[in-house]
Amino acid sequence: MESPLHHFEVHTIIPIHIGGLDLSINNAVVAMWVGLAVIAGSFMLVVNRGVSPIPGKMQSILEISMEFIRSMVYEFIGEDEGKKYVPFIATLFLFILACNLIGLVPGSYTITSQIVVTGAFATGIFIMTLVIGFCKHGMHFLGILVPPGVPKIMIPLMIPIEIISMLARPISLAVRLFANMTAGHTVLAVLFGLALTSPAWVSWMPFGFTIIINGLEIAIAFIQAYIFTTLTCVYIGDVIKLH
Amino acid sequence: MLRYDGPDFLLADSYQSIKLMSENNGLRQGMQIAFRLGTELTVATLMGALMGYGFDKFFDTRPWGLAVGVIFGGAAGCLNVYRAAMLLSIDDEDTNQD
Repeated sequence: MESPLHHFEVHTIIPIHIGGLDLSINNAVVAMWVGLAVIAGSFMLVVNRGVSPIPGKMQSILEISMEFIRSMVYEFIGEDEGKKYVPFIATLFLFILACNLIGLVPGSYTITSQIVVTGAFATGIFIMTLVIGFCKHGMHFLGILVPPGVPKIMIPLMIPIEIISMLARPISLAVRLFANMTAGHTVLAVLFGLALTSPAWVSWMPFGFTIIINGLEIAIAFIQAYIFTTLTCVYIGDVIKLH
Repeated sequence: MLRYDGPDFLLADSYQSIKLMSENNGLRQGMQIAFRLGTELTVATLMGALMGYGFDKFFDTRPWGLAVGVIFGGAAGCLNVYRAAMLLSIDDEDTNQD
């Protein structure tokens, strides 16, 4: 019987080693490429066919997604400032969503179940928010460490608390996506393992649950992509508005 | 030229899923909120503990750095949970108004 964590393992497909660096193509890299291809391909499909004023089904889906993302960005960052972040947030949302959904195809690989991937996203976003903050407000950006309305005597206490709270943000962002995807896929693997190993008169039960949880996982794939991008918008909005 | 010749139900499915996100589903939403607030508190406390531990290592102040770090981390966690809850309550108000 295979371990339920077996499908999280990374296998090298094409080994590439350049000067001590391991740049091998593995199943995680391939899954990422497929994610990119699905997103880029679906947009190219619509654009190549010609964007019509009366949208077809595919165009409608993409338009709804883009409008949904745009309204989310405007809500949390503001309409004037938010415009330039829409492409970034849309890319982030669609890529995470595509990777989450691809992971649900049996035999494929979920790259969002690797903390190194979600951690890289979160670290990138964290550094980006710091850069935006310092570019926009200069040294006044450090004022974000002192919440408004705090009595002066409390400031030395609030600064370390705010620093910890700020550093915890990218970690909780990364852990949330990683843990949700890993937990969901492990549950699926355990249930499917039960269905395979139990006798026929009882195996329909775990198999039924596998199907139900697979449906739930589709919803979770959307929700987690949504939460990740919403929080990114909130963090960017926070450093722009500075309280 | 690329064309989409796949079945229509696939498109209908993804449309439904997008719609599903904004709709209420008690248990799922509750679990999400619980998980979100849980991670906020845990991660901040761990972060504080880690920073305190690091402080102890560098300045040889064991165990005070860790003790203070955990307290500060816990406080930061409460702050993050409070902020996340405020954000969620704003979302709730919006849905109630709709």
